[in-house]
Amino acid sequence: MTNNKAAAILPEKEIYPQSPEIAPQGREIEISEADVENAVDRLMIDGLDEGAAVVELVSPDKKKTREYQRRVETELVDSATLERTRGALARAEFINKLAGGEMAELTDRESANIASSLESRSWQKIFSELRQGDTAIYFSMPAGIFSVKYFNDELFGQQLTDEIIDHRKNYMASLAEHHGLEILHQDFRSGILKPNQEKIKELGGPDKTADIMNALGRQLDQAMVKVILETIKTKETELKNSSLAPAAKEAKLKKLDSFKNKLGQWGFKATFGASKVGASPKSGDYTPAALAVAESQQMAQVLRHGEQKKYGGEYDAKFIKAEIGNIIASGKELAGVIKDKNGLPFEVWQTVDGRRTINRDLVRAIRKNKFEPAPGQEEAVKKVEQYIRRVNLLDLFKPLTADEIAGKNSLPGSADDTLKNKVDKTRRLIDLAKMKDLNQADRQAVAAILKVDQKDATCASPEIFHSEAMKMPDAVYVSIDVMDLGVDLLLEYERLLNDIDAGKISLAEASLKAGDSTTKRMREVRAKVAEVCGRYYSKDKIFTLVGGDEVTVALPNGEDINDLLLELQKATNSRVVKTAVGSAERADGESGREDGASLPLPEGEKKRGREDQRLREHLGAIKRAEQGAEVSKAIETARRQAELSLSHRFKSEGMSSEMAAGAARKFLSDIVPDSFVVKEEADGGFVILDDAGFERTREEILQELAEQIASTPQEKT
Amino acid sequence: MEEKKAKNIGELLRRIFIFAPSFKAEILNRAGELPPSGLEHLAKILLEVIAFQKEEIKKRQTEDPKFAERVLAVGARARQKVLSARAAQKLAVDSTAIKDLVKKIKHL
Repeated sequence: MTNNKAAAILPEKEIYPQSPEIAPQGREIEISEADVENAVDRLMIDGLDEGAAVVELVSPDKKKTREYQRRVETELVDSATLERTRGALARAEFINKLAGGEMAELTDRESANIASSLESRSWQKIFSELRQGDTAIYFSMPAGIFSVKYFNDELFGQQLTDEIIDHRKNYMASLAEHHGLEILHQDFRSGILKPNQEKIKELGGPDKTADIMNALGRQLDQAMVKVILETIKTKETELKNSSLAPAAKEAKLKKLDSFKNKLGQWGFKATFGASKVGASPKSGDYTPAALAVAESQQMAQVLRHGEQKKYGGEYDAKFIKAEIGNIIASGKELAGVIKDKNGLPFEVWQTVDGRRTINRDLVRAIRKNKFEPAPGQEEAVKKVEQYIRRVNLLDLFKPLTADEIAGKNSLPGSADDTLKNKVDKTRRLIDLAKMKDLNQADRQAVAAILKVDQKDATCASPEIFHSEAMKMPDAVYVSIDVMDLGVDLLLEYERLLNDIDAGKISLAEASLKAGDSTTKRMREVRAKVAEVCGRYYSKDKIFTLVGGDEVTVALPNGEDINDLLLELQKATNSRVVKTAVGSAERADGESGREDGASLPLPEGEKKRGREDQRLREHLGAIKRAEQGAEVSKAIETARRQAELSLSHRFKSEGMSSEMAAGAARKFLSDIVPDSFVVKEEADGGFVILDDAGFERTREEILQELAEQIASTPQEKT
Repeated sequence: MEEKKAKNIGELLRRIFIFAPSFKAEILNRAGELPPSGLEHLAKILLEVIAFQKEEIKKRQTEDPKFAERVLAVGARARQKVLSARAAQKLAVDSTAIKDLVKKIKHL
């Protein structure tokens, strides 16, 4: 568990002592520096953001303050990320040696690592191990307040959540072994198992799939409740000793307490679904395996949100179809309009391309828990929430599209390679690695697989990305965050469920196709990123890291990349943020920043390993893209709210819905540009660069927005 | 040794006021995960920050003789507000008075 020593021994801080008054106004006194420090200290009221005002008061040199903040942040890159990336760098070195034919002998451990790295790549084991007659068991972690996101953001923070996930993975591995199951895939929120009938017989445990699933669920539940209770204790101690304001501390402790009660009441209910693999129509068609996984996932999903007390269920098409009918029916019962706390009305339904679909603004807000209903609207909003959750029925992440899985299309990035070729080639290399019999050519083939991303062979694997970016003397990172991907995915599921219900598509076909348009969209984004960057840099200098709904590109620092950034934004219609490794905090002390703002380096820093410091700077710069994205989100949200409120006003003045929306958009586009990117400045602050080439800070834009909204609409009437 | 260093971080942070409280809380929480060499390194950066802010204050005081007095006056007023808010047990929910004051700071 986390080392809380620093938090635990924070000196007891009495910010507002009950002692008499200091320095009443008008009194002549001698003021010492200590007095000033004490007075300013009292202004630092924990839990309020106004610390910035004090910073402004005391330190007009913002540039230097930001530089210090950045140095501290670089120092604080969390140890888990640091360790993970160190591991990736070590693996990259190994992959490069394999590729270069530098490995004369492979140790047993190296061979085993090769085998497991290949096996864990994009459903390799699912495609090579799941055959006709086998059963696929899908398990899914509980949702809502038990989800990884909630643990991470609201309850425990990343470090403790990572520990919970590790515990869960380990428990699942030992429970699977105990019950005679093979793990084909396991990630942070789900996994796929395959029962091995011979082993099950040998072990003498339950042999019916339903019994196995319920035993697994029960045992995992008991084990995880213990782990989570321990984590709650750790977090409580951490909070009690933290420097948070009493009110914030109390709120967090209260949240933990309420969670603990719910954990006691509900337990940690992972759900399981099982489905049998059917016959494959032809060699190279992996549809039956993918379908069995999709069907088992749907069962697990229904149990996740259902009232049923059981942990697992075997796939039943009739049951799922009935559930789909119920979901559609529940949608029809939703209110037509719901109001938020400011009284702004949201129409629950929209018509897009002639189809009735749930309002995407509402989906976005509700998914992120950001919709605050007007009094009396809570029940209506809760129903919309439930509907959105249930529409997620088809939510299965597949690395490939239905046509690629069926062998109809070749794999992305290799025009003549089919899934069958890839699975067979990889299988052969895994077998050879297990037999410690990889020759030079095989080793190079292994390296070629491990060098590219498992989802997209046109991009670098994380190992190669980190290792190559670290080699760049002054790397620039461009983070391209595709907006509304989750919302679009949900709307895709909604469309498919409606089509299933209307008999336009079979349940099986929809299950296989669900998510395809999102997979294709992300591939297009990555292709466009490669194309735009390729116009400015040679291909061997661009390294791309693939994320869920984002892409990060590492580029050598060029003269001026404003045009590149704006082009990227336009080509991908995404949130684009540029950060850079600052050279002021360099361990070698050789180079300062261009603007000469470098700070003197303390002795200890020079002694530290250069590599270690570079790694921190590299990870710090990637991490800061999140701060840049927050700047962008603040502007997007302000614009959306302004658009809503303006169009509502225009509507109340007699305009039609469409006219009002159009007028609001037009009015706002003069203030907030339609396309912009966020850039990190040399001093660590962020500026917004718009397509006309103007740079403004977030505060400047928001201020202008507020002023214009306060005045102009009334004048228009 | 490690504990001593960690305690040191807490004390150093207490002396820094050019970082927002939320940032300071984050530093403190995350410092617990740093290895001893990292703590030592962080402490050195924080010492630099303290030296820097000391210089800044000196500079401000030289440039503007009324500076310190203003800070003290704002400090005293803020404290009074906080004490009354506390007395009324409103601190947890109502920080408007303090926010107003801090806004005024901006216009000093």
